[in-house]
Amino acid sequence: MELFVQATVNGVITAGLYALIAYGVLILLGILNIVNFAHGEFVMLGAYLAYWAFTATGIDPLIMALPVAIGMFLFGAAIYQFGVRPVLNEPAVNQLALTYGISLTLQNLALIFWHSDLRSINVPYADISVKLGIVNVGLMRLAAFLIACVAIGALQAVTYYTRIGKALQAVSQNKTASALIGINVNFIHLTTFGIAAAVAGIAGTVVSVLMYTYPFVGVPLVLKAFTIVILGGLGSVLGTLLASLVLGLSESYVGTFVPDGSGWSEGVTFLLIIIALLVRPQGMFGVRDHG
Amino acid sequence: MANHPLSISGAGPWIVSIAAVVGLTILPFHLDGYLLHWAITVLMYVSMALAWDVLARTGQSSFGQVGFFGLGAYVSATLSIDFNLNPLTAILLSTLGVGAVAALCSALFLRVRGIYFAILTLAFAEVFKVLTTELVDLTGGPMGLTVPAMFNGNATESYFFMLALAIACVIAVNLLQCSKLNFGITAIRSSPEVASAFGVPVNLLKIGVFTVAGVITGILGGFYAFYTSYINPESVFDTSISVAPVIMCIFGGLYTIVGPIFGAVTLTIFQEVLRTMIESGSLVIYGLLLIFSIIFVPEGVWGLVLRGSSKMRSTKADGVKPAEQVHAADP
Repeated sequence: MELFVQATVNGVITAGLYALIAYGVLILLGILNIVNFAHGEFVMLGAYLAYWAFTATGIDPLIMALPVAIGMFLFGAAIYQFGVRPVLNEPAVNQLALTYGISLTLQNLALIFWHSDLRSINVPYADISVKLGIVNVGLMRLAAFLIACVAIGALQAVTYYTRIGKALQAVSQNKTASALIGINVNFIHLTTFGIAAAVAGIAGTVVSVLMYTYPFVGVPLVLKAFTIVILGGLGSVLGTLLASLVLGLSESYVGTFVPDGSGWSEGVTFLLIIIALLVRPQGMFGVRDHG
Repeated sequence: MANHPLSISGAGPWIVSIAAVVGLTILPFHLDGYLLHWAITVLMYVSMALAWDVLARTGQSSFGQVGFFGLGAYVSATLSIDFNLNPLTAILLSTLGVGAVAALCSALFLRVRGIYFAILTLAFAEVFKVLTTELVDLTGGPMGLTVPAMFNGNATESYFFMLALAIACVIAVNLLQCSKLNFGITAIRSSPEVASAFGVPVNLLKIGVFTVAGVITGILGGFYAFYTSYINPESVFDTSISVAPVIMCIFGGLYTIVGPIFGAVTLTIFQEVLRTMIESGSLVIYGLLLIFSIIFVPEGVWGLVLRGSSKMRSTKADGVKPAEQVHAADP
């Protein structure tokens, strides 16, 4: 029983991280209609930023979330302006190949400059744990989970209660009409890409404390995010949160209860993605699927 | 062939092809071991890129061809170890298994299209990888398998095996382009519904092409296993093997014969040269070229050449500006 609760708590914490990464993929799909393979590499860059800031100055990686977010916003905006914008009207498969190219480039640059070492951060409070009911949860993991929740909540608030959030919603519904009523669609695209990268950066700081940081850390994460978005449905933040829970919990249970399960838990993602796509081949609702 | 919009008519292609075959036949006798290895790698990627290109012509842009590469490697390796078969027989028999799996996958994937097809194939390849890593009793797990060397380790014979496969692929794609099937395939890419309404056997063609492309990739995997005599999940399910043909075709020119060949030759050489210069991360060249070719030459290098030559020909003929026919426009 205790093991089960422990696995559940671990699963929920991982789900928070997954939801944060999937949120970025979701808004890019919803507003730009683009599947961004490089999203995982944005997470990887965020993790390295937090790691280097910690090793250089000892700043807590979770406090780094905000500066990392700002840096990644600018980086994402630049990537949009020079890489993604020229192909926005190209076939979907070209866009996919382009973001794959960005992803491959960032991975290999990271490999060249930072090598393939697994890096982890040892924060001073790493050993402190909090008792939640019958299980102990590391303070650091709890803090990381809270950051993920706060980030998602803040973004939701921005989307629903601010002017720019309303503009985002308008563009996601109809680009032409938005342009007609005076919304600068290109600016909204730029901002969205920046926000998605910033969220990925925050997720990166969480990754830097929850797991190891290395050049390929983003690859499984972005596939998980795709799985979640496909499972959860487009435009549905609630669906994304639920799908994150499904993935996080099933991975945790498989890892805990299946003998030799840590290897198999990696397969859970792919199994879910395949089931989701075979059951709902058009993927998410309302997304063009030509190509 | 002569009237096909993507081909250059006249005796030129024949002369070039014959010269190329003669050149490639005498080539291995003038290369040392290291360069011969490069040549074999290039030929492997030529076949793989051509197979991927034909698959993409049916609108199925796979990002998971490595699944069949790894499957081919493991099935033929297991056959040769457990039944003491010689490598060629093992590879030949493995095509049955790989073909069956490919046909089954393809039938399952029929309704999935575009980017979702890409993600689905990617996920499938990863499933194969997880399975080979975890089913230790069957596959040796992460430790991998040691297999007998092909042709007793004679690299020249390996070269000719790969050359034969590459030439077979070129001829097959050529025949396909001349046949009526080509129209069906092009129609499926533009719109499966319309193609189906006009009597094109959409599902049959999609499954057929997917299976053949899977089998060719599987043969390459089997060859790789016996050529290197050691395989493990990390090496034969390496994602870069899936990405390579995609990049080669886009860079060289999609839906052509010369494009994928050109892409395979240049990119393999680029990458091998870069690999000798930097320790790790040589794939950065794939990423950068992919970005630049999609932004600046979306029709690929050969597509650019074709457009240039057709422009020249039509200005000579009647001064009419030619339609942009190479890059399949998509609204």
